[in-house]
Amino acid sequence: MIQDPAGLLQRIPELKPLCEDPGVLRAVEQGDPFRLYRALRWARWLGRLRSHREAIDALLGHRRLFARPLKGNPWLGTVNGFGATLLGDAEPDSHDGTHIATHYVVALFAIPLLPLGAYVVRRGDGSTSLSRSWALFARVPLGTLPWLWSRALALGVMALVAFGAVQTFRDSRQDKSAQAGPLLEQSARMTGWEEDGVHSTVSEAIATWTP
Amino acid sequence: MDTVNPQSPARRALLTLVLWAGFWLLGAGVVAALVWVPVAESLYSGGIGGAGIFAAAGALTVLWALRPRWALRRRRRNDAEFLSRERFPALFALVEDVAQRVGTRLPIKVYLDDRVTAFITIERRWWGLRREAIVGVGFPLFALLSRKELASVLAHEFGHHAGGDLTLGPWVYRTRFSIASAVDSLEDSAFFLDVPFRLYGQLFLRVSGAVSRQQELAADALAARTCGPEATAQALHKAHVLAPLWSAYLHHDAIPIIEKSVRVPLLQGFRAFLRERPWRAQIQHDIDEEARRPPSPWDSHPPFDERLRSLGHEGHREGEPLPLKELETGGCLDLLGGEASAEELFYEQKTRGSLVSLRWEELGEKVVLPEIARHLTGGALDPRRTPLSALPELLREGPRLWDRVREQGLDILSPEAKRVRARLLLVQWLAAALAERGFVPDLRPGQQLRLQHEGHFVEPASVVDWLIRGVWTEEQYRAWSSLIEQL
Repeated sequence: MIQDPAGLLQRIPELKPLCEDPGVLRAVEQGDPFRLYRALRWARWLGRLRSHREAIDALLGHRRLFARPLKGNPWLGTVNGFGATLLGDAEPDSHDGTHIATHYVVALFAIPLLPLGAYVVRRGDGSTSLSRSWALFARVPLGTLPWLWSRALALGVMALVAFGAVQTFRDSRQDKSAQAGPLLEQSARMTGWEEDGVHSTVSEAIATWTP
Repeated sequence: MDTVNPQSPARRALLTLVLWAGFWLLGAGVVAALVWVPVAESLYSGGIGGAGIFAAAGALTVLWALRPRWALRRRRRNDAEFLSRERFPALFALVEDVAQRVGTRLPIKVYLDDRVTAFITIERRWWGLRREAIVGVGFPLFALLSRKELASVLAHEFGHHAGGDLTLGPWVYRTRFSIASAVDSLEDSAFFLDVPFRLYGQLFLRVSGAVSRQQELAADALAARTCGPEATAQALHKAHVLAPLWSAYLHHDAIPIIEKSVRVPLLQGFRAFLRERPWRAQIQHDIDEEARRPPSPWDSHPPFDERLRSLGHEGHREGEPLPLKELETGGCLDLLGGEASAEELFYEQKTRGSLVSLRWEELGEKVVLPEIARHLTGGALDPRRTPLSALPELLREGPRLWDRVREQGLDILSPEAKRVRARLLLVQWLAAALAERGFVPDLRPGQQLRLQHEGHFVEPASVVDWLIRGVWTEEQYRAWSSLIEQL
């Protein structure tokens, strides 16, 4: 028996046979439509659920099916061309005049740098090319390319932070060994260990054991 | 009863505190690790680089996600209305008698819930110097249980207080709330900052669920010692078997009617609901789903069979008749002044504004059909203008029909979901069209709406279903509809 806390099976009854895939089932039972969208996407990429390929493609082509309520209004605005805005015009609905736009961090008003999310939106009545207003209705999953781009960027930033942390850690150790150096030289002079070989060996030992 | 470890309260308290501290240590650890990068960069690398800036931004984001949400807690505090001692002296006498037998010496407030459940919580005022126990008792419990069984339910709840669970409860609640808030705030960060908190949340739910299940068994054992294992087991059995039925009745039949500002006899409707089978497919589906729900490691309560066995009783057997003796004889509704007074109280507590009192038999004619007609009249499916013979053609439209007639709003339904809704709409249309032709509605709790005319009964949902499944051909349907037109 499938748990469906978010009513996803009522919104998308076509999911019932797709729940044979553990990832899809888990996403339905967690009531998370974004996770469900990604589970379907991975199932499609990895060649699972082959017999339901057409159904999956049809569902993935309609990101509105996976809509979630807004959590708050996303920040929109640019300063000297840099900031955040909504770009794109995917899946237009002629019934209600809405489409899906991606919320991007941008440079020069329209060059997308980092996708932050995707929304079902409608342009406001007084929108012009210089001043745009939006009515936002729901959040939807990011499209494939923006999602891959955002994940790649996130991994890049994490790698940058990790690399920076490791580098700083090594710098801190070198700094400590540098502080230990004069003391070592002084003690070597006192004990008569003037030869280079002995000095470097002791210095390495101190550097290795410094916590 | 032997399954409850007598030393377990202290261990449970320790475990709860460790879990609470673990969450904040995890949060502090993540923040400290992120803050360390820019600080160490400025100390040892000669200045803050890109890594330091990103790490500092991450640390600020996590700190913001971990902020306490005091305002939300304050707002939630005084929502409930409590029962008055003067109006229900017998109920308060029972509650206080049980509390005394269990060893609870706090002032008590009683709250009426609408589910087959009971709960207890402690309200603390003046920084904990003044404490009051708030006991919630489900309205249906008064109708389904005998007085002794209700006493065992109350003893179970006071057992949570006697066992010290309520001291731990706020810690568990706050930690759960903090984890949920942190994950909710961080899930859009796009930088995997929510991952450690999400994983800790799963661990926390698993461990706190196990702690909570131990507490429930301990409270069951105390209830059995206070009111007898037979009454405790009976109360558990009735709540387990009847709770999904009450919930289905309340949410599918009663609440949709009450939302139309109509007051119906609730318990009379529930008795009729239990008598009439089979139920509508959606109701049956919900009941089956609840009954077959497998135990989860995150459950706060042990499986029903385990609870019964801990009381020395056999587990539930499939096919046993429903335990309805108390529902037929009035249970312990006298504690609320009788059935009429209890329902009066339910509506006072759970509804706002004035309601029109109607009998179940009147609902079809006075509420359901007029609303369907109001919804459809003047639209694409006007029951006066669309002939009965159009049904097969409308069904063939499938999801397009839904797109054609739906109200303005965001379209988030799949084609199959639209097809299902279009069918429901056609059921309503057929009902309204039959009413236009002199049929009288007959609405019974749990059942499909049916209409009758001179002894002919028609269930619109069945007619639509037969056409879809091919039980009726289009010709057969047209022959039937032309007969109806001639009535």
